[in-house]
Amino acid sequence: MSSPSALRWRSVPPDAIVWREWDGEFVVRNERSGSTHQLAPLAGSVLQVLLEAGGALSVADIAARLGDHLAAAPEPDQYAAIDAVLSEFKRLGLVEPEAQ
Amino acid sequence: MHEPTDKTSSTKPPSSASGDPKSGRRRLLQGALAGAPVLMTLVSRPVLAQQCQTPSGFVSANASHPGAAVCSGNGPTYWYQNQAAWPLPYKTNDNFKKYFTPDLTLPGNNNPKLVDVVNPSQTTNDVARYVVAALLNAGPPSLTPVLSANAVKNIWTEFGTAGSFSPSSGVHWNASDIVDYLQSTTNS
Repeated sequence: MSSPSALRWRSVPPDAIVWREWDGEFVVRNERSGSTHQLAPLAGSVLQVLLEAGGALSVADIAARLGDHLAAAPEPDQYAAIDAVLSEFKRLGLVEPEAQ
Repeated sequence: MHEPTDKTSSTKPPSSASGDPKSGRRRLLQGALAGAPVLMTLVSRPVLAQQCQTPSGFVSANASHPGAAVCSGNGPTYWYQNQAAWPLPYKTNDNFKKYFTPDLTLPGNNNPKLVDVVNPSQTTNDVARYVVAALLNAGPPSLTPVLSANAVKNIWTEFGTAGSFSPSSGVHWNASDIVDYLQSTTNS
């Protein structure tokens, strides 16, 4: 059984992000990198949560804020999915880990 | 056809998960647990980006340089004015000597913080101002793919100990040359 990572994550500065939403899918432009990303619904929602948080959040925090969007999925699956999203975001420069 | 929702996150992101949940989105999220989080990425050159070189490449650079990297770094004044944008692990109140050797002494300040060094009113040591900016540009995310954090620290170490930096054999840059090069990796 996997436990959530102890890392906390924060998004790049909100004013560096411009995005549009179509039917639950997100297109996000990162002004810092110049890249544009089409995000799946879960990834878009995770980024929303981080942008609105205004600070760093753990995987468990993010899962809690996603609330009933993920309620039907077992908790370990939720954490693994969010971890995968955050890893990809880190690679793309959309989020940064913050050591505890 | 649905109209797209145009947002900049600095104003208000699309309604969050904690707001008014939509059953369609809930279904999509549940189905997306095993899917790829990022469906597509388009890499484009930032509006203000410009071609840039490694230090050794800068020595022999000319107007046309196929394969040159693209940089979109910021100068020290930007980093002073946008302290919330500093990338981790760097903090404004970190001491200069935490990242750079040898240490820096400013008038009346024997142990300057990074934010003291990039302060536009700090005119004692321009190289120090620009190496701190270059360190922040190295990210993550990296705004200057030609210059890693270690490369920036090495420039300062060599300059701080020898009084110049040698980007390639037989070439020695003084303070002004170093600042010119570091400026070439920025938008400003």
